[in-house]
Amino acid sequence: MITFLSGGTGTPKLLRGMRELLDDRDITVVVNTAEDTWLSGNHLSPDIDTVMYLFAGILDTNRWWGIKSDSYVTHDLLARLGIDEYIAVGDQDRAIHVARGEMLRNGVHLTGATAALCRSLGVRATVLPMTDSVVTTYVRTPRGEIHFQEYWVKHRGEVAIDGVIRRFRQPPAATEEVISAIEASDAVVIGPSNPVTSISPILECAGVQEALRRQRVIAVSPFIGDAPVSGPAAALMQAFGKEASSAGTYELYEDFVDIFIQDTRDPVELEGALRLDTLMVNRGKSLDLAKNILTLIYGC
Amino acid sequence: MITFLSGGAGAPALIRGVRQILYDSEIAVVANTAEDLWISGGHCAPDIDTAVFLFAGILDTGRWWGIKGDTYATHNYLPKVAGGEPFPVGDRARAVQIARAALLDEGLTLTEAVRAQCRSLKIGATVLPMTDGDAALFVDTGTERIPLLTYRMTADPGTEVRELVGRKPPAVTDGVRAAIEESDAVVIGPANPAASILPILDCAGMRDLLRDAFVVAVSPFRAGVAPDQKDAALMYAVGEPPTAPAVSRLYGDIVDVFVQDIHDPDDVAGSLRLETSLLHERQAESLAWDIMAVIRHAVS
Repeated sequence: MITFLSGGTGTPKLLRGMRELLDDRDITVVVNTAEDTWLSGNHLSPDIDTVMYLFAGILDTNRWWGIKSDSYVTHDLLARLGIDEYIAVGDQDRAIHVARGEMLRNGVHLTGATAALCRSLGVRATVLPMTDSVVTTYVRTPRGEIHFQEYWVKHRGEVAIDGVIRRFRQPPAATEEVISAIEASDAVVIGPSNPVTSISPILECAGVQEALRRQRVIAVSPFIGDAPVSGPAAALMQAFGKEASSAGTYELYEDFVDIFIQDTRDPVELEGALRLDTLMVNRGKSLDLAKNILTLIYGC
Repeated sequence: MITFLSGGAGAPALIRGVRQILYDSEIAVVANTAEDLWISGGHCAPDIDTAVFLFAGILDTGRWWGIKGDTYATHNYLPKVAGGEPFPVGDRARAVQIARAALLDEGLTLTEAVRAQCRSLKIGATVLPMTDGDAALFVDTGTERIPLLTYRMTADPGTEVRELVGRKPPAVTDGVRAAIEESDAVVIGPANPAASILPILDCAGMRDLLRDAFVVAVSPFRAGVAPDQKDAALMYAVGEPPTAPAVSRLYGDIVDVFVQDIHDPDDVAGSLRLETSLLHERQAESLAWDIMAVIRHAVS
């Protein structure tokens, strides 16, 4: 079994390749939940949904979020009624939010709710929220702190930011399921997801870094030069006090990472880093990177 | 202006006829809210929505609830994803429910939220909830208490209705008071008294208002035509049979002209006999003409 730490972009592309080589049952994905929010009365968990939809075979892989060929009847009418959902929620996608919202309202933990949704959708991989407590990423802008989703989806990252804040009532702790999965794995792979908004929230959950130190960890940098392969990583890295590059990413992971992978095209020199083609522009590229990583883990 | 007390299917059917005679701007509807409930994070208010959809020209007049041509993508997907709703919610109707929930969350009263929605849908008539308080009714079946709407939509027709249970009836709103005081007459539509009209009449202050107004009430029942089994059960739950004399008794002294069907063998002393079946639009228009004639005669 291999455990992946994942956000909503980057790592799912690697998972697409892994699925062609591994049985889904041998894959566990620990997913960032710091972008979760209640929207239109229901619970949106963007990274969990992307990973879950990928394994259910219903992910819209053009956008890497949402359900393919979904309709947007409710969302469109809401706009006419003056309710601006800053993310386009499809009608089937909304059913997932409704089902999860109802479970959470009834006192089910996010881990249990996710497991129930995965069962219904026929997902055989194990999808685990990083924590069952609530932690949310906000970014600091000149006009105040805003939810990361609002910054990235509504404002398209075009607002100046000078800080990244995690808001919570109690410091988040990793669930037992997450710790046991990390411990039981042959290796842990940190995919090329945004280090600030996707991976760091997982690393900040109590217990995760200690477990990773005892485990073999392979991390893939999401940067080529100072440009992230996808997502808003550059501005966020700076706001997080790190250089927007593979070097900055490595600093975040160096305590526990065993193999650090950066792209062959990356001009940043990091001693000891492994160079691979990490730009997963199509299925074949995902598969190649997955093969290379599995060779590192299983040596064949 | 004429104010209608409305709920269920019969009263809206009569209002559809009235729209052929009066401008929408001369019509106010006081809608029952005893069937309101929260579902899937949205605020479902069936009698308000039926009125709003009627004036917006989008009501499904086959069922007298919901939006014509609506789709059910979210509702149909829910059972596949560990969820489910007790009755069908269309994708467009859901948008209306979510938008209203959002307005209520912002702190608007139900009256204000409905007014905003009427503006968005460009409705000329005035649609008013009977109250801004919690007027929800539950059906006590002897074994459990289910929301009145859930009973109407999904319960087995043979389900026992021991009692209709609610909190202390809340007060009518200033909007309702003003509408009735400005009206030439109030028409109590042919709706089930137990489920749709008594909840309005029971609002604190309502009967006093109506005593000062010219009130025409139309019986929804006539002997010889078997009422819907659930309509009958609801009437028995308030201690009366489903007949015109029973309706007259329940409304009591607030009514100035009681309209019962021309073919009804049960006689209510002093009643006005009219053709009251509303099977198609022409019948509704015809009844509307007759009622308007009565009102013109009385108030001129």
